[in-house]
Amino acid sequence: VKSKRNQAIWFVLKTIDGDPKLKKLYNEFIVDTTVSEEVVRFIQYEARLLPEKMRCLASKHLEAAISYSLYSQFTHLRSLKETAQRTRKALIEKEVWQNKLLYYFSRFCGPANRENIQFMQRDFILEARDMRQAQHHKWFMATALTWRALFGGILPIMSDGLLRLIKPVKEAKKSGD
Amino acid sequence: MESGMMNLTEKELQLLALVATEELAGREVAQRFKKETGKEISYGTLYTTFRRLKDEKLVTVRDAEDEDGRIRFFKATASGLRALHRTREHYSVLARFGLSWGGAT
Repeated sequence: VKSKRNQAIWFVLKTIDGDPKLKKLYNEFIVDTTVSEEVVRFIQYEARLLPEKMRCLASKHLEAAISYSLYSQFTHLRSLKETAQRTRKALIEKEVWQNKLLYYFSRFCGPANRENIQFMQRDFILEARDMRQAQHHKWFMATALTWRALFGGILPIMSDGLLRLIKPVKEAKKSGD
Repeated sequence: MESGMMNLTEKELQLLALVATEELAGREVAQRFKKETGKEISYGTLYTTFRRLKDEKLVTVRDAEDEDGRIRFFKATASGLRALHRTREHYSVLARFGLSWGGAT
């Protein structure tokens, strides 16, 4: 029985190998730990259905039928994965709305500070994730992140800009003395 | 006094020391800073300080990106390490200064 099942799995894998589109999707999903288990399950399911399909279909249509079935499952999986990613991103953006504040502030900054703000935004996302894992209340998270964005993000950048502005004046005054 | 030492502030030296031996991302630096000093450093201060250090060629940066956004890694350069070494020597001399004359309190 085991050898028959292995043969069926081998046949499904060979079908995937023969279809470039399917092979591309398979290679993409099998290395992705979030969906690889699902892909293996699809293949096992197809292998289990293989004897039934062999009985019903002519051998020349068998590979096409397996390809079609796997392709539709893989594309569905891809759309699910993309929706999950979009939802996750939207959730993060909604929760870390302070990043929007930083973004609008960054539009008034130079390229170097704009870059720094982008790095900060990622750090805030990770901070929010840590706080969520630590099961902090959402009001605590909102207050902490707003405080950090204002007094730990915007204010130091503004004071640094001010220091850079007065630095040449100070140096000129020093050399004048 | 040699150049590249007294121009650096305390915070600049602390951050330089943290990235002296290994390349660290901004958030890792902030976490280690808290562990070492017991005080928090804001991301704004951290990135602007590193920007100054980068302008003075005391640190090198490497940018990367993941699904959460952009990351910047920092690592001290050879001149950064030299500046750190000089400062440490300077402070150790300063700490010993006057002790042989009974200057210890």
